[in-house]
Amino acid sequence: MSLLLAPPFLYLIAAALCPLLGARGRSILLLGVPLAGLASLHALGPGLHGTVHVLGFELELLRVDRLSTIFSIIFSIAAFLSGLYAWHVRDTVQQVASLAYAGSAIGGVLAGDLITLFLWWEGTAVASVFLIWARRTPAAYATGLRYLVVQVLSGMLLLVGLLVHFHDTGSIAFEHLGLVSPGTLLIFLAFGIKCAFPLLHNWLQDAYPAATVTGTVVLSAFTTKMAVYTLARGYAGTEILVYIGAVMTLFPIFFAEIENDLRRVLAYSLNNQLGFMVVGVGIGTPLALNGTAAHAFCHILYKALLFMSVGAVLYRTGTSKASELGGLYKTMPVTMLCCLVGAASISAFPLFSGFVSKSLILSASAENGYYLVWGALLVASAGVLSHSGIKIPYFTFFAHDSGKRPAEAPPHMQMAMIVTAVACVAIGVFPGMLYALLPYAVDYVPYTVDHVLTQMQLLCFALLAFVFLMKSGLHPPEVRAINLDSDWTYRKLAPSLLPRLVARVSALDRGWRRAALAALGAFWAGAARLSRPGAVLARGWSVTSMMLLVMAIMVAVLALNLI
Amino acid sequence: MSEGDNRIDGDDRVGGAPAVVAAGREREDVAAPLARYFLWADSPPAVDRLIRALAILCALLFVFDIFWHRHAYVPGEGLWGYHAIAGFVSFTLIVLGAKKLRTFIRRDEGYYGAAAIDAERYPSAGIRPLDAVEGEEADELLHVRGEQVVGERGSARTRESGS
Repeated sequence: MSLLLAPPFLYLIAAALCPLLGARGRSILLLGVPLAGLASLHALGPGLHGTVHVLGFELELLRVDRLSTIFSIIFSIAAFLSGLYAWHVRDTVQQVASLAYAGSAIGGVLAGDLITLFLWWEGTAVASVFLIWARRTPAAYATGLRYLVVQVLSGMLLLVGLLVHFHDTGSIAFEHLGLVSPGTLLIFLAFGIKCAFPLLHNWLQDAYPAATVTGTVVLSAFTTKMAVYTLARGYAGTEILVYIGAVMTLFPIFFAEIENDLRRVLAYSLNNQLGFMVVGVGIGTPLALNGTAAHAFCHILYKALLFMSVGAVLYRTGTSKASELGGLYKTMPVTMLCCLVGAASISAFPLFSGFVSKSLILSASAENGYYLVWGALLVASAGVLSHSGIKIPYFTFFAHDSGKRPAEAPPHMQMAMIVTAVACVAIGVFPGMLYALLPYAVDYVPYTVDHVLTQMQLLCFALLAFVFLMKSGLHPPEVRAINLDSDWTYRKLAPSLLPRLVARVSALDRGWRRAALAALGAFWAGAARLSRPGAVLARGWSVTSMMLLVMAIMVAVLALNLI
Repeated sequence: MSEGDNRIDGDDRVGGAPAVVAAGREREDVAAPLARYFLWADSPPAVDRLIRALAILCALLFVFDIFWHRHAYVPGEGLWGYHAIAGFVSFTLIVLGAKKLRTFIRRDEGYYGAAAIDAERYPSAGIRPLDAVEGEEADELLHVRGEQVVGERGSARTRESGS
C-alpha cells in the first residue's frame, strides 16, 4: 500500500487539499479522513512500515504495534467526533489546523525513531496553535504565543536530547530509554512539558480555555496523550514517574475547585487525569501499562464529551463562567444529560468508562506496594468527583438560576455528544471491548463486589460531603475572579523584574565601558608623551646598542626553548 | 479590532438580560420537553427527598461492609467503612483547602490585562447565542410554573389559531 495513504500522511494531504474545497466539502473531509485513516491503519497491520534512508539515518516512519495501535485508534475516533462537533465551522484555518494536528499526533504515536518523533512533535505544536489564534482576539494571540513558546521549548529539548543520546549510543531508535544519561534526561523533560508535569503544566490551563469552542475539544485529545504514549514507550517503569504522577493527580484539583471558567476547570481536571496515567507508566507492569492505555482511551472520550457540553453552553450563551451560568437544564436537557454521562464517567461510577480503566491503575499501585500513592489516587478520585463530577454539571445546569434560557445545542453538536456519551457507557458496561485493544493480555475483572462496593462508598460519601458543604454554606461560591498559578512567574514576576534587571545590567555595562575608555585614553596619552620630540621613543639609537638588544632577545628565546 | 471592544467592564454581564428571574417561581417559565423529567430540581422538597435517598444509600453501603468480607489489597483498607470515610473526609478537605487557597491566589479578572482571555467576551463570530423561545424548536417548549407543566406552546398556539 502506498505510504501516502497511511494515517499521518493521509491527514496532511487532506489538510493541504482542504482550502480548495467548498464549505460542506471541508466538513465532510473532517469526518471522512479519520475513518479512512482507521481503515488504512487496519490494512497496514502490525509491523514496521515505511523505512526510509535520509542522510545516513534509517527512519522508521510507521511502527504499528499494540501500544501505538490503541493510541492511533482513539486519536482517530477523537478526530472524527471533534469533526462532527465542528460540522458548523466554516473557518478554513481551524479545519486545516485540526487535520494537520490530528495527523501529527498520530504520526508521533506511530514514529519508530526519535527524529521522526521530533518532526511530528513540532508538527503538533505548530498546527495546534492555530486553534487558539482562530479565536482572533488580541488576548488569544498573546495566549497562543505563550503556548507556542512552551511547545517549541519542549521540541528543542527533544532535539538536543536526541542529539546527545545519538552521540552517546549511536542509535536513534525510539525504544525504552530510561533515565540513564543526560540525553535521556533531556528527552524526559521534553515529554514532561507536553505531559504537563507539575510546574511545567501551566501552558495547558492557560491555552486550552483560550481556543475556539470547537478548538478546545480538538486540543483536549492529542498533545498530552501523545506525551503519555511517549512516556509509556520510553520510560515505562521509571519510578520517579509514580511520584510525579501522584503529585499531578493531587494539586490541580485544588485549583479546579475554585476556578470560575469551566473550560479551565476541565483543563485542570485533564491535568489530574494525566497524573493517573503517569502513575501507571511509572509502575510499568503490564497491568499498569494496560491501565495507562485504557485510561487514556476512556479519558479522551469523556474529556471531549465534557468539553463539548461546556462548549455547547458557550456557543449558546456566550460564556463558560460558572458565576454566569446555572439553571440551563430547562432548555438544554440533551446537553445536560450528556454532560452528566461525562461527569459520571470521569468520576468513575460503576457502569461508566472511567471505572473500568482507573481500577487497573489503582490495582497496579496496590499490588506493587505503592500504598501511599494508592492513597493519593483515592483522595484524587474524590477530588475528580468534586470538580468534574459535580461542579461542571451542577453549576452549569442546576444550582442558582441564572435566568438564561438558551436554545438547545445545534443538532450536529447533540449528535457528537450523544455518540460520545454512548461510547462512554458502552465501555463501562462492556469493558471487554476496550480490554481487547490493550497492549498486554488482560486478566482483570473490574466488576467484583469489592470494587463496586468500595468505589460506591467512596463516591456516595463524597456526594454526601458535597450536600453537607452546600447546606452548611461552607462550599466556596463561584465568583468572577482568576487564580494565580505558576504562570505568574513568567507573566508577572519576570516582566516586573525585567526593567530593573535591564537598568542594573546597562549601568554595569556603562561603568565598564567608561573605565575601559579611560584606560585606553591614559595609554594613548602615555604613548604620545613618550614619542614627543626628544622623548625616549623619538630619540635616535646607536647601531651597537640595537645589536646588543637583538642579541639579548635571541639569547632569551634560546633559553626559553631549552627549558 | 481594538482591544477595548471585547473587554467586560464592571458588572456588565455576558449575554442577554435574564428573561425569567429565579425568585419569580410563580411566573410562567419555559422548558424543553425532555426537561419535564427534571423539573423537580427546582422544588426544594423534591431535592430534600433526593438527599434523603442518598443518605439511605450511604447508610446501606456502610452497613453492607459489616456483612461482606472485603479482600484488603492495602494495609488498613480492610477496616470497616474505610472507603466511605476516605471519600467524605477527602472531599471535605479538598473543598475547604481550595477555599483557603483562594484567599491567597484570588485576583481580579483583569489582573493579566489585555494578554489574557479572562476579562474578554468570547468573540461573537465563533458562537451563536440563541434564546430558547427564538430557537428552531421554540414551538415545542413547555410552559411551566414551578415544577408543574401548565401548557405546551405547540398546543397553545393550535388553540389560539383554532379559536
